[in-house]
Amino acid sequence: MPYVGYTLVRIGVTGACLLAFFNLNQDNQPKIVGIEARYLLILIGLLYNPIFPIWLTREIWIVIDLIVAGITIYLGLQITSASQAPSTLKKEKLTQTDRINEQIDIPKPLSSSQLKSVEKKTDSYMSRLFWQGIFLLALVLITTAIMKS
Amino acid sequence: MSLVLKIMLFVGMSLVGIVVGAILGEIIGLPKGGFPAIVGLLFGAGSWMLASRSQKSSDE
Repeated sequence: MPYVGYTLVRIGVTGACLLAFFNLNQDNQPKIVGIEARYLLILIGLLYNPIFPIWLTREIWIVIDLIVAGITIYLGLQITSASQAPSTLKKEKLTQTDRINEQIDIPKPLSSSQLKSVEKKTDSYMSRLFWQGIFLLALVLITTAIMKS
Repeated sequence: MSLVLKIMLFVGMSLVGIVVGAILGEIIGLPKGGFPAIVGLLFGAGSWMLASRSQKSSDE
């Protein structure tokens, strides 16, 4: 029974990494130790995948959790600041391949209106998840208190 | 605030919450698997909510 909770977290982390991977801007990707953000997202998704779970001791998972938490928060802030920065040099840096890619007009996985709709739905889902979590936490605490007494 | 930042915050804060939940659970003596996971989800969902609220207020 208790493992169900961790499976939920694994599904959440892997799903979130996939969603972020498909919405990443291909230009100006931040790097950590020379590894690009998209490869880091794939690595994190594989590490927490719920289909073939990786078995490690609790202490090792605590260390991994903290490292991954630091990496994801850092990447999130870097990606946001990179997307908000003015891209004056962007056009100058275009190579021949980039120009050809622009002409081909490769379709993006989600359009901006679809992205807005996904964001709106996720916002309301997260709000519900938060209050359900509070309720579940209260339930666990009350049950444990009753069982102990 | 972009969707990617919210996602990254969700993942990061969920994992921080799991560690906090594991340590708290150890101190209070709560069930090992369930409690940290619930705290993790709470941290993640809470950070998402805060991010979307600040996004809304900056849009207005």
